[in-house]
Amino acid sequence: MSYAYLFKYIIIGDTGVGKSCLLLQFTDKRFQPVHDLTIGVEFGARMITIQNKQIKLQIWDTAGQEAFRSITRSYYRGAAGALLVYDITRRETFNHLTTWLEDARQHSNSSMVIMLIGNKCDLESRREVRREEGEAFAREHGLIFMETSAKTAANVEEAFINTAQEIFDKIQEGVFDINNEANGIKIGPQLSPSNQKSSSGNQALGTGGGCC
Amino acid sequence: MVMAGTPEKVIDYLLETRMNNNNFEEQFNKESLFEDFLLTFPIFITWKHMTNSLLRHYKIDEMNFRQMEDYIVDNKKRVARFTLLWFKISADAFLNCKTITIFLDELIDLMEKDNLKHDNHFETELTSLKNIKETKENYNLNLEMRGTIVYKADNSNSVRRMSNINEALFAKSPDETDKIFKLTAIKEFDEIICRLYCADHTYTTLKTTMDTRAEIIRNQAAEKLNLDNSVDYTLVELKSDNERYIFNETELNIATTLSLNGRIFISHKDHLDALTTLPEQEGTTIGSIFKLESFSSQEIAYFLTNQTWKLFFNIHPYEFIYLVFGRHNFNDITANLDLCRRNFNELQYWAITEVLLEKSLSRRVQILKKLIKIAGYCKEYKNLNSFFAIIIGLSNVAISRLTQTWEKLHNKVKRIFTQYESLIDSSRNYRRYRLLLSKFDPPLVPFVPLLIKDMTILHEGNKTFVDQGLVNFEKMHLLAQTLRMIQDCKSGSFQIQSPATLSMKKMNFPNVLQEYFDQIKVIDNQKRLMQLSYCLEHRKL
Repeated sequence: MSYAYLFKYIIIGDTGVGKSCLLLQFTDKRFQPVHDLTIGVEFGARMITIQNKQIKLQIWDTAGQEAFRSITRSYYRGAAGALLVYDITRRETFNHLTTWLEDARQHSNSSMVIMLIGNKCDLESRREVRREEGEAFAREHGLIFMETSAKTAANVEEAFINTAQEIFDKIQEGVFDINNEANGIKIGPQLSPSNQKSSSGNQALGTGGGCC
Repeated sequence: MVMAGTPEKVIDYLLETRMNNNNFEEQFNKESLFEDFLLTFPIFITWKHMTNSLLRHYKIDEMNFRQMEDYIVDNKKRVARFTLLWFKISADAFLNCKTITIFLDELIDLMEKDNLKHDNHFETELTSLKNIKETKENYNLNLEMRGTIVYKADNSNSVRRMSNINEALFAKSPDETDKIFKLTAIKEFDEIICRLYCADHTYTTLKTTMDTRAEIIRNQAAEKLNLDNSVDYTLVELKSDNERYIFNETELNIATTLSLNGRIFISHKDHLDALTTLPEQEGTTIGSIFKLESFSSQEIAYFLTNQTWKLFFNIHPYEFIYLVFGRHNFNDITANLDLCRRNFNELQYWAITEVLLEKSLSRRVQILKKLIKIAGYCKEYKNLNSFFAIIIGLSNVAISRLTQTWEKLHNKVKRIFTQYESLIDSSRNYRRYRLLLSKFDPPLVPFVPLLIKDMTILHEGNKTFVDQGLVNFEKMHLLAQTLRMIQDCKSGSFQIQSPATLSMKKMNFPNVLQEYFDQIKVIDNQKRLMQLSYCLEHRKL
């Protein structure tokens, strides 16, 4: 299907906060790793519409790689949005947000949109992190905030779509350099003239990122 | 195809439909349902439960005494066939399981009686079962001779095996017996020495078996440190970047799961914030790769490949299950997998550390080039785990931002690196890597972190049980595909050609390299790595 833009997301956060569940809830697909190489199925992708424009979201789940933090770092480079997830029933996962955030900021391009997500809000009785604490953290660090439940699907759509909206707005404002794919945005067939090519001349080493 | 069922029902079904006659093994190789079941059963049924279930099936005549003799005999044979295949798939885990010892004794005992009762109908099955029993006894004997192997995680180096009388076991090349017995793999009764620190950086040293729970370690440490036992203490990992991870009381083999420069602290629950890292957690301030000057990249890759292969080979597929589903649910260790994961991270940070600690630009370029060459040889040796460890290390922002260093690198080497880097491209679920993998013949060492990721996402994305306790076999089938792949990677004998450059006087080189890699210290704190990087090439404002 053709699209106007492709946005790449990354989902980060501690082990067991429900990263995969959020993704699955949103894409409504059970995950199957590609063993049939000839197909090369893309997982974790979905189309959404923002201001009448088709946008393809391609979401990279880092579940299972928490112990290999440096592998995760290599994904930030090409991401336009990040969902930083904690579990409202486990205080510890909230305490680790600072490290995750620092890591994300250091390794991504400076315009990456980060959405803070307090997941498992269906488990109100076991709540350890108050909603206000999440809000305060988000305010302090300039993030968008939302509490979700991957189980009941509460706010899951909104989390992904609001992030996309923010990225979209930034494109309109000219904050994102959409010609540089290292920023996690690709112009789709709907918008791009057939001969338009992204300038990637000095990207040979992939030294992109807003770190320098 | 079986989609879901209770464990009991699936065992019934397998016994009834898959154990028909003497070519059951042929049938087993043709389709994967039974293999999927045996590769994943610990997820949904205990060993004890499974043996009970099989014995119940075996004792069919006690319940249905009016059944035809043929029917009874046939059913009993099916249980024996099931057991043979179980051993084939579970291998050393089967041999290591105490429940199985009791089960085999009982089964053989019953069968011997039945053999008399039913005109020696069970001769073939009895012989096979006795063979397994003999293998198991032989295994126990070998374990006894092997003894307990002690590892240490008590200083700034990584988890290392202590030199002891078992040296001979590790020195010889593994023969056929060791391939099944895996005597060099870590067993649950092996011991580990580790330090537990207090907030004031005093410490105590404990030696515990690998399967000791965090709760017991905490209590022993509290006692040795004379801590007030009315206070609620907790064990926590303090990482070099100051992050802390609290250990659940039920967690097993915590010492092997630490991050590279992580340390275990014991602390009052409310005072965790006050903990500060030890100076040694910084890792190192001087590079060491110059010590390897006399070795070619190929020789180093040759060593790394043999080392990684041994670590990979020793991992039982069930360890992946325990890790992904949570060790405490199985009361079983993942120490072999832990060491392999650790080795990956170590190699990765070694590459980063060595580049960043070299102040001279020209020498830094040389190091970079050497590391890329080592990675290339690892790939040639089909050691994809070390290959990716080095390449991902060198793609770390702290390294990739060093524009001057990369500029000085020969264009050809740069192109090779870009090509290597493209292999870890995650798009379409690591399609490039998976294609590369499909071109290699086993044996090989795959990219282990991806196996864990595949299984984690399969686990998180699919329910283990669907309504009313039925096992979701679609999920088991998907998990088994990865587990089978792991087994496939290990098939055949792993022999790589020793580098041709190797002169006689360097014959001792694996030992020298072993010593070097045993003692390497790395920096695993990303902040510190970035600081070093900025010192080498200033930040552009």
